[in-house]
Amino acid sequence: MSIRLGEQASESAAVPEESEGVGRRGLLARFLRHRAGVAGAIIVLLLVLVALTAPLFAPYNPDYQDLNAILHAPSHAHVLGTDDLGRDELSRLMFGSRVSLEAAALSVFIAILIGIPLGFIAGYYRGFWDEWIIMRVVDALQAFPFLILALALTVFLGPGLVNASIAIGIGFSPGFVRITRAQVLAVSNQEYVDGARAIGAGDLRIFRSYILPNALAPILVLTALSMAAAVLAEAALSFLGLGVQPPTPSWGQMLSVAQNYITLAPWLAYWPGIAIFLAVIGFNIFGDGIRDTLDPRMQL
Amino acid sequence: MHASFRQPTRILSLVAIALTAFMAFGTWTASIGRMAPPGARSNAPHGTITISLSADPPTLDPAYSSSLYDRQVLNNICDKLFDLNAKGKIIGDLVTHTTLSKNQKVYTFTIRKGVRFTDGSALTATAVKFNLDRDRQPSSTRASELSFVKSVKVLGRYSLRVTLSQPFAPFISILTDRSGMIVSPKAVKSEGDQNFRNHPVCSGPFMFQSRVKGDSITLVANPHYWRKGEPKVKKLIYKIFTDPITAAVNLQSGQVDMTDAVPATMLKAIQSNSKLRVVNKSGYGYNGIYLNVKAAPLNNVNVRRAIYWAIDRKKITQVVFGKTAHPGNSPFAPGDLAHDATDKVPARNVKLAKQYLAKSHLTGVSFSLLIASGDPIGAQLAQIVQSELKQIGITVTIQPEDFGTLLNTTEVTFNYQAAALGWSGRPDPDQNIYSFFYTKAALNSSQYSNPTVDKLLNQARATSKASKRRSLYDKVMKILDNQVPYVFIYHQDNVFGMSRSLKGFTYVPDGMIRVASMSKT
Amino acid sequence: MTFVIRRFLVTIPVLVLVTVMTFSLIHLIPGDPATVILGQEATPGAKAALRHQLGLDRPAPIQYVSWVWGVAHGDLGNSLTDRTPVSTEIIQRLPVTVELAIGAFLVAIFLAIPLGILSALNRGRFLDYIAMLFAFGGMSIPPFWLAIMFILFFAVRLHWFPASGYVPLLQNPRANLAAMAMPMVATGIREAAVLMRLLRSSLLETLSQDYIRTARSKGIRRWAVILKHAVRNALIPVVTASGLTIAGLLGGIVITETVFSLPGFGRLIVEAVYQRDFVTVQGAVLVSALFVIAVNLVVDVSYAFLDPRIKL
Repeated sequence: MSIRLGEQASESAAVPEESEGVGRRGLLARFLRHRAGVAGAIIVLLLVLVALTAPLFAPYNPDYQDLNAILHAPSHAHVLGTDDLGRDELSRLMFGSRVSLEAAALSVFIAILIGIPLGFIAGYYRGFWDEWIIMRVVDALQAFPFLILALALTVFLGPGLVNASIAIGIGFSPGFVRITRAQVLAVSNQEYVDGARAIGAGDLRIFRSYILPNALAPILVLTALSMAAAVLAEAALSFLGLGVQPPTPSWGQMLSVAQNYITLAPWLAYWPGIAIFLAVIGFNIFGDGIRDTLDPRMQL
Repeated sequence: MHASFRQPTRILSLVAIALTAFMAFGTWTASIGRMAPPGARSNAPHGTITISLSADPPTLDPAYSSSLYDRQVLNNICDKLFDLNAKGKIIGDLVTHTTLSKNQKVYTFTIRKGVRFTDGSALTATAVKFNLDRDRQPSSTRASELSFVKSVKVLGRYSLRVTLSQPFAPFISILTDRSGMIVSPKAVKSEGDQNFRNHPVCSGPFMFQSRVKGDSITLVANPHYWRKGEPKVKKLIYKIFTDPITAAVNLQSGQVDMTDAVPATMLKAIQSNSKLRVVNKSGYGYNGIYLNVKAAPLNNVNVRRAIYWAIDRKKITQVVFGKTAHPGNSPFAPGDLAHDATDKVPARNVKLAKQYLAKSHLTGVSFSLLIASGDPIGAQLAQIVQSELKQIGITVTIQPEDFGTLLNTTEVTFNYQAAALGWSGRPDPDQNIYSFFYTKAALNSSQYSNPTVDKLLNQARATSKASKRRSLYDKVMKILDNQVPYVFIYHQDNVFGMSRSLKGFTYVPDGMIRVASMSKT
Repeated sequence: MTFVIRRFLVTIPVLVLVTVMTFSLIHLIPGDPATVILGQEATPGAKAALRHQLGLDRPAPIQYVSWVWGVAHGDLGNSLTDRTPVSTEIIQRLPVTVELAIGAFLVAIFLAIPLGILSALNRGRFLDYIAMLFAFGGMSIPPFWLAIMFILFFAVRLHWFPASGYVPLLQNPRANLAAMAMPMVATGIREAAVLMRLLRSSLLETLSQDYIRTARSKGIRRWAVILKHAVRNALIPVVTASGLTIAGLLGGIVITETVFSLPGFGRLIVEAVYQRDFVTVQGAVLVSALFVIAVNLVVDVSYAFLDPRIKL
């Protein structure tokens, strides 16, 4: 059948793993041996570091307009040059990381908030609400090309960081629904869950003790991969002018300005794009590394 | 296994061939960019001229139009009662003879004989009356400038009498623009009054053929145009480039023959290009920011005064426009009859601005500023304004909006606080101020209303004595400087970039590109 | 026919939900849509007329049914900006987008298939790493940045292609292809990355299967084995995945058309968003979703015919 994110996981469901302490320490060691994953983790850490310390290390205030230094090429005073308002590119790049991370985190958070509970209900309770309502809603949601859905939501909700994140979060939630449901289906088929129910364990307890620890792995992977996609999505929306509004620096919006001045100040086009690229590939490789560590057979 | 070495080589060679093909393809199409546009050779009425416009004309109907870009296209589709020559002097176009009564209230026009609309119907005095009546309807954007017209009477097949309620100095000047454009009554009736704009029919050098919204408008030559030998080209295509920098790049690569604007940053590049030239002349227009006096917090006059003093007009104009604009503080550009010493541009005064803001007794003052989307120059200016206002404690949110929507917001719905919008300018000072600050006038986007100003404006348009008009306009400006329904910032030049292969272009001070006499070698 | 019937049946609730979701978009507008569109100063009569035109003056279920009825007859409403029918605008723009999509898809397969095969055959070795780098890179590169870089190098610096400007294919094929070359490649690279990874994993799985080993043990030359059996079977999941990537392709096309100023369907949506033309946005969103559903349906049903293991 159609290959969709998460559905294949149900076909080759992850065998529930031990969630005790010894396993965890072993996991960390395994992860550290995966070179690409470590590289990804380092990039992500660097990104977070830049975002946190931007106010300390940025050479200029990102909003400061030096109207006598418009569209200057990289120089001693401005290492990456200035934009059309005389603002320092490097400082804006550094502060832009805050926006990217904030928006991405908010988006993924919303996706998880919507997706996991729905996925759990669908997988655990089954029946009419599962097959015909929740999963069909998810199918319908995934029928809308993601960017088009996000664009439409910004028209009706209005532009801005929060609204863009909501739009992106809604767009990403189907993936989390499917993953959670698949894991729940896989685990609740196991005998020990029947056994637990027989001795009187409630639904919530079963969720907490059995399902969640085992569902955690694919959810973590999907979170990392979704962070990558969310950074890209926020950049795309800001590039179109529908995300963060000026003067707040956003990498996507900086690229949009750079395109306007491509013949006059081409250097403005390089760095925001490289920044987005690094952030995205960092999260992607990091997620890949987590997946390989926890369960190489996981198909995500 | 030896096969495994062959495998990658096969595939790699395939990829290499593909890359070479791609590059060869690229070289083959390289000439596209430098290829001479079609019809470049002959002098016969052939060929296509492509002109770039900075916004998609929202309304191609003179009775409902309010955009400069409509005018550019309409000027090539429609004939007008009067026109301007290269020196800015008014000459007859569809009107061949005019008489004015001694009391200056009755005009008798003789209409040119033998002119037909492109749908075949005849252009008679009846058709002209139809147009003037249509323009005087309350819903028309021409109503304010024709408010002094009392009646229009057809005297004969080619003779018309217009009676005014009082003498009206700018009247003929007004008839050189949209109020003087004559559209086919037959077409209005068959298309419907509100639908005519989607397929305008007139009698001018070009006919409307087709349009792709947001992308292009295609006009073709009118084979029965009454001016013999015109138009000189077969097709006229307007391409929409909201970004003047992209338009300039397209001019350089030959995709367009002429642009309706040249950003200051590209001026030198275009001037130094041997295939291109720049026409840079001061115009009649002005530009700045509308403040909606009915929307909080801008309904507080002290907030508006604070904004007036917080803006650095000279710096903004110099940084954003360089040699293509002059700083301004009134609707009257240098060269306008009403322009004088009182229109001096004030220096920025942060202290005074803060004082006024304090007098407003408002804290946390913020508002959103609408700008036309897709224009990086407008965005640049808006961000400088935003930063300058931040320094006195006002927070501005910049809100880009499609240009047509922007006009609708500032003329119909008034769902806004501030909007960066200007006026392309007309020869007569009344045309640059009346419709904008007279109570409930068609283009009064600030929703400003002041009976004293109304009275002064009416007096100024009723007399033709230049000195009297100038002093009346001075009085108006004194009030407007104090009440600030609009922040004037600069007077834009008319700057055109064009290919040297275009011949026959004559600059007219109204900034309109008249293509009828233009050809391409 | 059980599979096909079941597949069609499952599509029906999805279709219904898609129409319901699209229909309710206009109700997301904070406040009264008529006031938002016409403004505070509008006469009550004008607002009532607009509400009637948008179908907001009747109970929701009736509005919905009449809207769906209209859609079934090709009526997607009229643009709020210039009153032209939305369906006309969309049809006018489709040729550009279709051409771009086909071109991008061709570029994608052209890159993905050789690289996917290469990478699977040389698993774990240097070539695999290079190919995987391409895959991750292609997925991670911001498509709008790639497009801008293309413009910078191929248009501005090298003058190989025009920076923008579209000419219809039938009018001037050469100019058309010149203008479309960069957009096609820019869009196609991302698709190529996604498809390449899919092909690689699918091929790896296929290569480890029994019937492949049986074929190899018969002594046929290895490359024939691979090309004939494995790739064909490995392509099946990739084909079905292409159905999924249609949605991603449409998203990429929106960006590419905006950067290269192509008058296509994607840019229509972006412009309608700038103009706050709710009706056009609604119509275009619906068309996109319906298209994706249709493609997925066709792909799934074809898959059933292709794979002999599926009981039809």
